[in-house]
Amino acid sequence: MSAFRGPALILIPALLVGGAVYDADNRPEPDPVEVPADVGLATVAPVDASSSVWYCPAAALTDEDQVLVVNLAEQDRQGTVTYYPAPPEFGEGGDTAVVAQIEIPAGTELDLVPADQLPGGVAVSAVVEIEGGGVLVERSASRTELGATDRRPCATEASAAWYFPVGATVSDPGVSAATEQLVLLNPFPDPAVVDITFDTTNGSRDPGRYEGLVVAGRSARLLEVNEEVANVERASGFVRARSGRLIIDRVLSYDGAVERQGLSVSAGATRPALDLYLPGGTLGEGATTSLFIMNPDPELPAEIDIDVIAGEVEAVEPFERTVPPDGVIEVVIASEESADPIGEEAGRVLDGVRTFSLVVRSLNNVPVVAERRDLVFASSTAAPGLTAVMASPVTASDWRTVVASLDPAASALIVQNPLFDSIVTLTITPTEADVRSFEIAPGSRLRVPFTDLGVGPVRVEASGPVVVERQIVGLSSRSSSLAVPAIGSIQEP
Amino acid sequence: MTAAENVEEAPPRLPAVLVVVVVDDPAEDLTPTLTSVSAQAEVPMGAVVVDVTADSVVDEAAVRALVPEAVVRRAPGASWAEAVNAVLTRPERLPFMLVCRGGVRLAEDAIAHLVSEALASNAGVLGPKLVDREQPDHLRSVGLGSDKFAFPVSAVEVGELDQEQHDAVVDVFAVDTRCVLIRWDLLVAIGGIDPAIAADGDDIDLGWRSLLAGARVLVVPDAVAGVGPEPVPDRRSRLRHQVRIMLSGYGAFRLARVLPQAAIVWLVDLLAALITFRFDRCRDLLASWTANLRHLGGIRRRRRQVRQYRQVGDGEVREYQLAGSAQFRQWLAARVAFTEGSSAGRVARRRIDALSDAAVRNVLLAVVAVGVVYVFGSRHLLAGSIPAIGSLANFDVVARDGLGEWWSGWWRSGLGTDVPVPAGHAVLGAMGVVLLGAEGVLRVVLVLGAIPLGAWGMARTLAPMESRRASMVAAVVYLALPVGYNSLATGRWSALVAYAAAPWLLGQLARASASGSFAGRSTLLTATLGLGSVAAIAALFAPMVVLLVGVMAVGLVAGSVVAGNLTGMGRVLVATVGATALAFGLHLPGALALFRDGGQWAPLGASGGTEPGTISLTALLRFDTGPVVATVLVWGLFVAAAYPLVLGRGARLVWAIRAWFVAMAGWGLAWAAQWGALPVALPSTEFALVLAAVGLAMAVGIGAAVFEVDLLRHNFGWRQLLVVLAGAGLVCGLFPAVAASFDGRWSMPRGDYDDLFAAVFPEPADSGSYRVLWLGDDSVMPARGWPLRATESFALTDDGAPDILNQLVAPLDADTRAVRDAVRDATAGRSNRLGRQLAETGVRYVVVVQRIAPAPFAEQEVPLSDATGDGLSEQLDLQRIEGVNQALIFYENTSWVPSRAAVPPASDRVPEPADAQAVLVEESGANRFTGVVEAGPEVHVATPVDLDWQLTVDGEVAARGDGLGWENRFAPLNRGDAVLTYRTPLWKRLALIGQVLAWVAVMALLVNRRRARERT
Repeated sequence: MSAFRGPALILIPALLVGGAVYDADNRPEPDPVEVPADVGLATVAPVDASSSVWYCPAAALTDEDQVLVVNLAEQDRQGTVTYYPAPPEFGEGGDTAVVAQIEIPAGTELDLVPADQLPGGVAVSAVVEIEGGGVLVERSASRTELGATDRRPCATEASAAWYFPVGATVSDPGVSAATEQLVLLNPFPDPAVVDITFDTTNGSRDPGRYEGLVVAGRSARLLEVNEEVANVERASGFVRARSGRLIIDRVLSYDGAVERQGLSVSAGATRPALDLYLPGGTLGEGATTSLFIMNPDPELPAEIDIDVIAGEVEAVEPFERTVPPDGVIEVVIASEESADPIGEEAGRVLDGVRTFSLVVRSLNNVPVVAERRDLVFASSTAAPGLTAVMASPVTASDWRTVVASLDPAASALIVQNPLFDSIVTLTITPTEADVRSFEIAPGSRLRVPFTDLGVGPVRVEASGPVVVERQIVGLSSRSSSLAVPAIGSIQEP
Repeated sequence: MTAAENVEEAPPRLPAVLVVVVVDDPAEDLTPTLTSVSAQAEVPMGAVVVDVTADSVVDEAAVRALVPEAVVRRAPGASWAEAVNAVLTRPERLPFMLVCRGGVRLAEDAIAHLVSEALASNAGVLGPKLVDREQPDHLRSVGLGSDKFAFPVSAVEVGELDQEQHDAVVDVFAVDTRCVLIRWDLLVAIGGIDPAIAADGDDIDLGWRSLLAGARVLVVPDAVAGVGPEPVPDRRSRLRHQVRIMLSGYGAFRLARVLPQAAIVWLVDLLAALITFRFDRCRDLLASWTANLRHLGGIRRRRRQVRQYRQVGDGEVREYQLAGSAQFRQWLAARVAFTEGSSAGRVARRRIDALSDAAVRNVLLAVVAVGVVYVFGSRHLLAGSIPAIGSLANFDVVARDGLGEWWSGWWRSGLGTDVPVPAGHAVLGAMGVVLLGAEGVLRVVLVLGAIPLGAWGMARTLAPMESRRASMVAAVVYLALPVGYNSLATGRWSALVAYAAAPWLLGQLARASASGSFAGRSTLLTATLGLGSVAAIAALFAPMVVLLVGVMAVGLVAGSVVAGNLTGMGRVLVATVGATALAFGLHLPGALALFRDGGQWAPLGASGGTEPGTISLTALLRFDTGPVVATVLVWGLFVAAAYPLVLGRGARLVWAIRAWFVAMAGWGLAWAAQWGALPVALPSTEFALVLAAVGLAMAVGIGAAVFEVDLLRHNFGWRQLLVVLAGAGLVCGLFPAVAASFDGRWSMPRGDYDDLFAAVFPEPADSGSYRVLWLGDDSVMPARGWPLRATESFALTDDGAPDILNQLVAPLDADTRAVRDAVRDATAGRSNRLGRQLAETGVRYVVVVQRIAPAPFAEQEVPLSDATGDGLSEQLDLQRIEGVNQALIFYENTSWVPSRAAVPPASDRVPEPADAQAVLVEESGANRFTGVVEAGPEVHVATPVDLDWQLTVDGEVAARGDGLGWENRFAPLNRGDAVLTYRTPLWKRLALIGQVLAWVAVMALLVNRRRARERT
């Protein structure tokens, strides 16, 4: 048999060596998993989802509190609401859970009063399970004595870690007393064991009673933070579960004794991120805005860049800060006309700036959590109140929210375009008004007052990633929260 | 000197001999025999010619003319034994009797030599040197040996020339009875020739009894006799006579020791005959015992006779017998000598000669060395257990379930399906039954035996090159490459099967090509049959092996193109197509599963995803895919494999190039999988690398043949230096495997999940039947399943942990797909009650597997994607069970309903756990469940709707309906003992029988064609 040696001697090494070189330079990356995990925000499930669930740990702390179930879909929805009593941690056990069936016609809102299901004055947590998607659930907390109302979405994800940058338990005479409570809801069958620590203006606090705290499966607990971390101007909470997952709401209120009054009931942050967005900052007389930045990393400090974006007004140079490991810093962002800055650190004074957005960036790849606290004092000409808005770790092109019937002129949607190189086209589809279209300049924000939108569900669709904040202002209270992105439209920054 | 002294002293007169010529073949010419008898001088003789032919062909006058003193007797139809025994009764007795057959030609003084020696040695039985009467320089017989089982062994090879190598008087066990001198009194003492053993063993019988009587049996080479061709032995008679000789010759004590050994030898022979479809031999083996057992009276009489004349013990006779089993040694020697169809003598002689050959010695040394390394490297696995990791699951249930499930026709894959059960289940089950439930032994043999089987195949592949060195080198290189050990270490059952089968497949393809050294080895049909059979057998355990045949063929053709020689490639392609079709056909009806549900690859074992992997081409080339690290020393094998490309000539060069391209086809396949460019997921990276290993090993082996043949053409120069380089490369390439052997377990984990699962999963009898949903990266999953997302897959098992029967899966049907969709929804945030969705399927546990073995035995973790992991943790009705093991995330479904449960009647919703009562928890056969049921509640059976499922209560058939749109519901009218069973359709049973017959027919055809070729 005859054979040619040459081609084999050339081809074989060429293929092997050439292949190895080509492989090293051009190896394909695995396709990223399309489904984002642990978004860090409440999200609206798609209409064709098999089911969706909303967690409202602090569904009701008083008889006036409500859970609001809004059906955004074109089909009717059925579901169940499980009400869990949330007794104080070291108090009596309380009643067992109550399950109620609900039906929500398409495009309508169903208002539930949890206290009706579990009377007796105990706090109530609620888990709303809907057959199908396209439902938005919010809680509305009211304190008549404060004249305060807070309305914001419930949560859709449990987590093994929760972060609360904003918190206070101050009780000194001459200042408004602050009350902070945490409501821990474990809707899963297995127990959760958590450790809760605080970073305060007086240093870190590790209450012994909050170490290895057990929250039984399918139960809820109310913690009075003031009892464990008393009289501090800032009590930033870290909740880490040794096992299991929970949903936690923080209830923060100022009694209005001296200037500061208001109520904020909100879920904590679950997902530290490298880039965080806060659309709706406002400065003015009789108001103060603080940015609280929390670094959950136990070992590495976070180098933070804070970008104050004032739209088309001259840009404000960003400023940098360092957040220590397991620490929190407060940056007061004040105008020269505002009240004396209080807190730990004075921020940059912004001349002529009345509205702004914030972008918080971690420069050294240490993820952080950020929360903006707005205090409008009682002496202000604007409606007083307390708002605490958790920064968004994601952007999205499809947001849902509900326009509530308070002061429509003062209430608005704030839409932030985080892209500095693209104009974003916005389409807002209210229920009771015409579709509105807008453009947002690169890096800028847009304010859309409720007067333009009517009352009811609103859909905000953008040609690019945006962040939407809803600011509800009443006669004597205010409430701000992020809108809820649709799960399929979320984009990582 | 006196006159008296001058007289030459007369030689002593020899005693008289009666020559008995038995004429039993009318075709034999008696004249030369009688002429030679009459020419015998110096021995006073009488002569008797006994004509036992049916037609009494002997002419008495003619006899007298040649031997005047001869007496002619006629005994038509008598045996030669009876003829001789009749002569014994004559009143006149002479000291000796020479018995010979018609056609024997005695040389001059043959009888004198025999008698002289008998007197000198006091021997009782003596035989001459038998030569071919036409070609006297060809030996026929110089005495016989025997082992303890009366198996005769000739000292002469067929066609052996007489070169005086046997010209010494020796004691033997027996002599050929065609011409034998027997002392008269001895013959009388031992009762003559045994008439029951007239041929095929009469020689052994005569010698044995003579020895027992204290006589010597000698061969006297100075006495020469010419004989005709060896009579064709009657195997059945010989076997029967062997048993008779044993039963009657041994004393009771020795018989008690020998009989069990004989039974084992016969049993092994019987099994070998069964496996090779030699049913006639099976019959003869069985008849050899049954015939003697029917004549126990005769046996007893003979034993009494033996006791009367026995002069020596069995121990003394044992000294004359060969050790062990001569039959087995003969068979083994034929294999060592790499020849087929050798005669016993030729094989024995060749074996002896071969051992003196340095090359053969080296081969044997290498085999021993490799064997030692392999056993050393496997010592902990052999002494302890092989951990059940990945797809190397335990075999605990094969004997109980394998055969039964296959025969029942309902496959418990996924939620259950009527797709025919793979034949592999039946084979494993049958093996388990044959081994009387010793499934652990079966597992050790199949798992650890795969690697030496592959090496053997590698050696056989290069056998046609007729270079022992080439075969040895190829086998050693194949063993040295890490792919087999990485398959073990990572629990890749399919890759191990491919490792065992690939060399045999390549060998058959090479024979099919009939090119170069492989020409004339096999016809195309036989090679195709062989190729298809090997592929079909391998596909029993790893179906995707069938596709490797095509890839190999592509490699061979590509190599041929590059080499510029396409000889035989057409045949290769024909054989490939034919073999693939044959393998497919042998797996019908199960193979039709490939076309079910839109056509899927899952039944081939493709359960993972086709996403790009992380192994670079460089790592693939080094076979660095697992914990058995292939260091840079492996490149040495590339140097050795390049050697035949540089120096090879002719067919060796062509085949070296082809081998390289087979290897490159394997690397190419593995690389394509790593790039996510394949439409189907391979069972593992090692599965493709097996081709690379077999091609590389073949190339290195051919290099050894090149060294033996082509290098000799050249004077000393650079070529010889290349040899040194190649040799160094070869030696370097072996080190990684040797190093890997030190841990004694080929880097397999020291433990597995078996004990953990046994502790965690309850018995279905205690709490109800259930299913387990397994999720994880395909590389760590303990059961095969279907793709879930990216490289994640999911699987379902019944009532606990997976086993070997869960390593093949049916196509993903609509019902099992619903499980997948439910998991996808849950992990995509579109559902929070996965437990509820799975409740109706009986899923009680959801287990996320993150490591191939539990902590601390395995450290490398392959977690689920964040989306999948987080999504599971968000489910409100999955309770996480803590403290099981770090390697697992374990959930219990709080909404679980037993997969066989009594539920509220006429309900169109999934029953609540509190409303479901487990029933039919006893499993009394494959797909057969029993228990007591109540009237009123319906019986929910979480299997897809199928009319052949039936529930009977006290013999009364319960009405069947479709519950919840997909599962079976039964409405028993009365309380009673219920039986739930799957009634296998007749067509399915017939198809399975047809499948068995097809296998038998193909194997028998292959064996017969091979035997026919051997005979020619």
